[in-house]
Amino acid sequence: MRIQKLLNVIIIVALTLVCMTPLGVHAYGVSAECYDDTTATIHANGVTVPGVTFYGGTSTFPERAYTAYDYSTGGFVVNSLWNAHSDGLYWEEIGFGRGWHGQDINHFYWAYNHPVNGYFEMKINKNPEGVGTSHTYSIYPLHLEGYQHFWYVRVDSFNTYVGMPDLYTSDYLCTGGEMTSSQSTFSSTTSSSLQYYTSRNQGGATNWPNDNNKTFCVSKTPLNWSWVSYPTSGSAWK
Amino acid sequence: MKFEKERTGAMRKKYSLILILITVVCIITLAAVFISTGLDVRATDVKPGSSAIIDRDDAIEIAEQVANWNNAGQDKAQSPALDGVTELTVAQYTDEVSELEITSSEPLLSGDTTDSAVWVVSFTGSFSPRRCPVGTEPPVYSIIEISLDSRDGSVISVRMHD
Repeated sequence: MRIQKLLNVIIIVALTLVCMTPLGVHAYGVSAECYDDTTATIHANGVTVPGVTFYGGTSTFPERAYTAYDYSTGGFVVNSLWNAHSDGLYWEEIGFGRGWHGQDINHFYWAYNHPVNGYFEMKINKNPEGVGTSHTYSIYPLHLEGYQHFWYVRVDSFNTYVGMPDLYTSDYLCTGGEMTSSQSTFSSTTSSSLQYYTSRNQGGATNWPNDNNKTFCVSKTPLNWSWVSYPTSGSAWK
Repeated sequence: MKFEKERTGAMRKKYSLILILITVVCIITLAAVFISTGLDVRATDVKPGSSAIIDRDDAIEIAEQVANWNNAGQDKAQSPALDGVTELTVAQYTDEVSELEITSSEPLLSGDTTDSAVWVVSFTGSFSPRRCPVGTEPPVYSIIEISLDSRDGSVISVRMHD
């Protein structure tokens, strides 16, 4: 009699699970909403120093345990280094994150935008080494005589480059976080260093004048960032 | 004894009825879900990173999802239109600047190599990067190209341009 009861309970549970499965799977493929929680903040360093022209920069930060709540709809959490130009049309970025186009994986990536060539992003062929492992990220221009300008985008010994025919300086440098769902977890996005270069090919590395954490928040559509606390040295861009 | 048997029989009937009811509810629920979301359920058959070899139709299916995630149009009527599908035998990116075609107007890339066939699926519509530096507004482009590893459907790269 007891066995019969137990069997019945097992069958009921099994049938209930079967019923629930398609409801859960259905969440896959639903288009994502961008992060729209202005009460949350994410740490960041850098941006601009008035009157200073950069030749890219470098930052060091560790792999951290992030969760990307909306990974199945293309969402992500990343900790990145950005190098950009004041018109907002040119930028390069490289970083580490969780969630890559539907895959719930830790990964390194890089991306750039160019007003003519467009936008490009790519997962780097480099395996994460585990939470706590620090990596040094760099973005800097390389000029070969007779050729156009290239921007190197580097994490540790891995490097790639992108042609930016008409630019080899920048006036925006930032390291921090980016996420697409307020339900993702983001323990920290601080970096242990941020330096900008004062000449090409990684020359004249200079510490960021105020390397303390700053905070910013993000709203959606279009994806917009705004500073909650402004750098005390330098100025927030835009 | 007789009472015990009757009680057991009644319990069995009761449990049987409950089971039948639950089964019917489950069947109706399953049918409703599959009917109402037929296409979406089909889309779950192929996910990026799965172990199956990805054929042309699978590649289009995955790429369409990626394109939708980057859709800049808030109106779902602006869903992307399939623009083209290419299969590359091998994607090879050189590590030497000197080996690149410097005068090319295409993006110059390096540093990654894959020995797998790569599907490149492009769509037209309105697309915008979900990544951008703090303080900037993402640009909008009319074409998106998604490169997929044919071994598992994982996304290798995404490019947007006009």
